[in-house]
Amino acid sequence: MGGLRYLYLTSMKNRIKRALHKPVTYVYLLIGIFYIGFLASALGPMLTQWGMDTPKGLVFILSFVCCFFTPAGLASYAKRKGMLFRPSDVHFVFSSPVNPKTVLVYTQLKQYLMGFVLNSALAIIGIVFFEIAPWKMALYFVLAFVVQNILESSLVVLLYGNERFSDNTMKWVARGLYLLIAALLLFAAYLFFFVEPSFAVLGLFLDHPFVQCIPIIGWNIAFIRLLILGPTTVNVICTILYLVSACLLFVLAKRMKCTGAYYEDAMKFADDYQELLNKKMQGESGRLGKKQSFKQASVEYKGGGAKAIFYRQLLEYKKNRTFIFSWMTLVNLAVSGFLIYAVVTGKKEGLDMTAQYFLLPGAAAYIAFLFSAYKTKWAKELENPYTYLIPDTPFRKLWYATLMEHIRAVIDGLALILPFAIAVKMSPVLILLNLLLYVCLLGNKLYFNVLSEALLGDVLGATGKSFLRMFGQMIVISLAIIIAVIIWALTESYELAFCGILVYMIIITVLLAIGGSFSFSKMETL
Amino acid sequence: MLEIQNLTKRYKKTLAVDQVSFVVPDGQVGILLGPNGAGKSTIIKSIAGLLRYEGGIGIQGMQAKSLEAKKIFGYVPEIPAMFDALTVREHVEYIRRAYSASITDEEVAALFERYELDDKLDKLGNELSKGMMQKVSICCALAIKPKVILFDEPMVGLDPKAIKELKETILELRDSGTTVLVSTHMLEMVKDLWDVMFVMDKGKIIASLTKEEAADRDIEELFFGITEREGD
Repeated sequence: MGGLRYLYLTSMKNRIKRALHKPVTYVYLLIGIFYIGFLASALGPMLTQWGMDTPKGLVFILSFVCCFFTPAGLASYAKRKGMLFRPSDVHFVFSSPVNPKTVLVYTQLKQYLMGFVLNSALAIIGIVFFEIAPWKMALYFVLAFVVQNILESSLVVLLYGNERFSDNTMKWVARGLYLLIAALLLFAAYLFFFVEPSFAVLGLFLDHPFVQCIPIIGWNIAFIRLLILGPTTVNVICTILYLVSACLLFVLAKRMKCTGAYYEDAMKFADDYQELLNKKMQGESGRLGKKQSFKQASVEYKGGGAKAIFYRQLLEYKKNRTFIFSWMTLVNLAVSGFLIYAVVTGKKEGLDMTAQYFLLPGAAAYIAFLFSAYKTKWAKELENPYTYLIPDTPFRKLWYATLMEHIRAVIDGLALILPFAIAVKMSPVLILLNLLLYVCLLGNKLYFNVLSEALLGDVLGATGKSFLRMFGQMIVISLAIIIAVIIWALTESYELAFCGILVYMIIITVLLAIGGSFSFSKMETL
Repeated sequence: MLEIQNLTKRYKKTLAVDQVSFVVPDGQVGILLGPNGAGKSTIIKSIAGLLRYEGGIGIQGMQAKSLEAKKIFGYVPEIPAMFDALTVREHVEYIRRAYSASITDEEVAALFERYELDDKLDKLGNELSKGMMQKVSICCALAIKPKVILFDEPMVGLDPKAIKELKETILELRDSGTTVLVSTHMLEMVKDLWDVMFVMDKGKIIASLTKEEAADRDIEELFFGITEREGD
């Protein structure tokens, strides 16, 4: 016990000390303060607009969270997921003489701290935005924090630390909780279709005594309602049940036998989680515990030197179940559908659709700017020593390492452009110009990433580099818009405006590529 | 003493360890040998209490999963994993508190000096190389002053000086009555250390012999003699 307390307190102290030494912490802090200020100023008018700035509004929000998030959390505990163990815990904590139940409670510590911060914020928000008396919010803050944490810790021990029921039984418990969410959704749907076909039905649903009678989750809602709105027969009875269940579950958890059988699942989770963290730190995407499966494939290598990188990537993509198509292809198709709908509706309503041809470049710029720039195979090449040993120039290595990305951009670009172009009867020249522009925008993003890797690979983390990329792209895209508007205003030709943007974008992209090729000259960054 | 009785471990339908039993007496060094996938690491992890298993594991006559047994048990895993935000010094301090270990400050300092960590004491876990992590892992296991200690591939990543120190440490532990179990592929590294050898293949112990039974035969000759005979 003393060991775990020392471990968590010392880790926290060291993390804070280390963060205070990094200038980037202060930048993030400023952004955080600015963001919270922005949210705080927007929250009041937004709540008033939606008619939620009353105690009932807060109860509605808290009830929604209880109804749909709590069962999912409990289901993950039943499946022995949802607890963040790390390989260091496996190495030093699991084999140490500490009660496995204590290990579970300590691992929840971060969640308690987060709960403390959230509840503190909620107490202030409740007073300022929801017109709730300070004493009520203070009572809510203390009681909800204490009771909810006792209850949750007990459930964590009982579900995660369970050694009495088989894995199969626990899977059924998890399924039961998901069924509960499904039943709640069905009930809400029933109210929507047969009682009140509007969003007010959500309020009607969460106010319903039936919901408050659901064990634990509904009783929690009743407890919140009693504290904030005052007593009713249903909420008093359900609150008593809630408090009794919290005490009962605590006693059960305390008496339950737990020898650490969960360590095996926790160890696997820790390895998977560490793998995911490593990927995230490298700016890659990944799913927890999901191993990618591959098909059989072959490729014929044509040419040597850096070209081998391209053919190896092609082979990898051919083994991929979705080849070079990704969720981005689907997003682009959906965006195209949305644009068609916007144009058709606009025309029906008699709106001036002169600028409809600029919808596509606008959407392309939005996608290139905002959508996540997870690193793909090109970034892996930078970690592979053979990339540097291949006898070829850095620029050719960069080109062949990123060529596949340009081909993917063409495919995704076609998914965005073709349906819209057919719907609005766009000329082949404009289709081609739009496609080139899309590929250029994506290339631009790609080379911004390569360049930030070359310049700041060891200085900034993935988030910092992503911010830098977004900032650079924002400037480039803003200038492109200005160029397009000027050319269009002078010539009234869409084609010339597009050509203007294209020439500008190609120049920028080539410059970025030349700069980024430094990454491919040696493994060490600047 | 370390006792393994009818240990069986399945991963879904795969039988990783099948009815394995062996004993390493007090003050002896046992070595667990075998090819990749033989089940050595599964046995080690089962003893360390990280896996669910069938059968029994005893540490000084106590159930391995009991807190009392864990208090006198040291474990050096194959791949060390440090706490990112703890320094080298703080790792050992954590162990001292978690195990209520009786090791003194002077003894800790001597350990750090022996494994050449005395100039890295304020380095954080995520700033250490693999070899350094392995040294910290060894120091932590020794700080417990264990009665039973497990080493899973302990020499991997260590520099020659640390390997020499580790070998000497293992012999000192043996001489002080500690039970030692080493799982390894590196036959050369353990040839002067062992008292009792267990050779595993496909989840079973296919041979076990003592130093006396082996007489003057070389460890490689013994190992390949057993595994090739089994292969035939």
